[in-house]
Amino acid sequence: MISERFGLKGEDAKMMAKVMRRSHQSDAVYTWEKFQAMGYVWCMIPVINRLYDKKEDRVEGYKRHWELYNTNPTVGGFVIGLSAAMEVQAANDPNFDKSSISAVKTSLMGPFAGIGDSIFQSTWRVITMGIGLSLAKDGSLLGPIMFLLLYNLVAEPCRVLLPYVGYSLGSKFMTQAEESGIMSFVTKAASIVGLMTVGAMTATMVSLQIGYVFKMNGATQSIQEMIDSIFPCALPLLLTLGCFKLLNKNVKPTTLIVAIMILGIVGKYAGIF
Amino acid sequence: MIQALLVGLTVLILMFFENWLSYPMISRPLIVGTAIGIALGDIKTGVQVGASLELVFMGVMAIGGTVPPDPVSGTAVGTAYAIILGKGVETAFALAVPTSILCQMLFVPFVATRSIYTPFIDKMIEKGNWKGIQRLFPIVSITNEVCSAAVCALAVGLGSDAIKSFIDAVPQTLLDGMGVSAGMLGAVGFGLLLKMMWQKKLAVYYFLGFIMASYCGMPLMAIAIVGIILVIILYFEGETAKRKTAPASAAAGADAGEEDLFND
Repeated sequence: MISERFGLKGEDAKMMAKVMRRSHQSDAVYTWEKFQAMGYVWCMIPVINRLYDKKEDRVEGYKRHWELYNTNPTVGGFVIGLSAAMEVQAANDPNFDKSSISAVKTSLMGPFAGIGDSIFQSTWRVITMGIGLSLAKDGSLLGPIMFLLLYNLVAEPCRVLLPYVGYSLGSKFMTQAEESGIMSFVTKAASIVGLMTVGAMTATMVSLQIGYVFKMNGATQSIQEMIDSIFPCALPLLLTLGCFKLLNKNVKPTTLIVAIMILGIVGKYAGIF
Repeated sequence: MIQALLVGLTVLILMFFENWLSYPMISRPLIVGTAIGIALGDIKTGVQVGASLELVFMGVMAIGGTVPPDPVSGTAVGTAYAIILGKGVETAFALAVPTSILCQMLFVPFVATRSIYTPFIDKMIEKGNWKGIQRLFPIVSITNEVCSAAVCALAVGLGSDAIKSFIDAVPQTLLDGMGVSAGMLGAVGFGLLLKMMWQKKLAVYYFLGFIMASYCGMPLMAIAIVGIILVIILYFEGETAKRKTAPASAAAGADAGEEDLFND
């Protein structure tokens, strides 16, 4: 029914129905090092499996999405639909630059997190909860029921429809971009916005602070304050670039994770952090 | 004992489906209180306690990478005691706060339990074992929720003193250290992302985004918009540069191109 609305037929419709159902679970596995990456792989499995039969191609496809990703899951379906459209395009066109799939994903996760959090978490939830609470005063079951109904009356259509919107917009846009030859520019543009987003997220989502305080002749000087006055968030930046360097030297991510866990606990015991 | 199990099971179901269905808000205190009320057979108290705890936790919502006091466990244990002891909202409140703080402390190590699976997932992806990934997916999802539910069940089963003594028993530095590590772990993910995206020519934009967030404190949305504006500027500058480098003899061609643009 929804597929017809968006002009999808046969295999396309079947695939998108699967993607839509799975996009509900995009935040079901949240981890500290790759955030929603596994959820994204979970959503993309039906797409990759439909497009590729050879094992190597499939592995390459899974790997493409087994990367850090984080956005608001209520509206994030749009990005998932768009990725599906790009995957289809990539499979049909050997000249397609596959790195653009990751670039577009990364450039959109920031804005969608912002939109989703401000609309649903901070606004709509508070409004509907206000209504729910006013009805729940005497312990009436109507309060919680109304809250759930009202909240999801707006949220669920977003979760269901946005993957389709992303897919159909994506397909149209990809075909046009391919024809007019601006695809390479789109990739570059997405890389620029994506890198800026990743840079901004490094500053806000990686946290590392020195808790050690200098004491000299009774005067105290916090090292963190010194760092902040010179270069705020310098430590998260150095840590991220350090990880990047080590990963480039083929150090395994798991090794880094274990090392960071030990570093955090030992550092806390030693009073550095 | 049965009551403790019921509370644990209710928490597990609510938390699992909250994550599984993209936050339908079933783990808000109002709903958790109601569900515990239904499970323990006193709906009215459940709704009332849930509603008053909702006001306490209203502003509490995980946005980005922050860890707020955990409203689910707090409400579940608080409501359960309010119903079992029959002493109303005050009891619930007195117990909800320490439990939610306990679960806040444990949130980081609990979610870290999901990372245990990462090497296995890496291997499965390497082998293209998508069936394995699908089988593992719900298990990874539920791992840390089982831990939280167990804490709630234990808190109800062992009594309120147990929570307080447990908070005292765990060395604070260990939990703080775990918290520090959780804050740092994002660096690995961003490092992996950079490994994929890094291009020498474009690297400068990474630092631009970073500086805008760290020095200027701009929100992510604003930075993305500036990025889009930059891209537009670059595009038009690029077009002009192309036209300039084209020799004057090709001016006619350029004109034709312009006309095409307007005819579009």
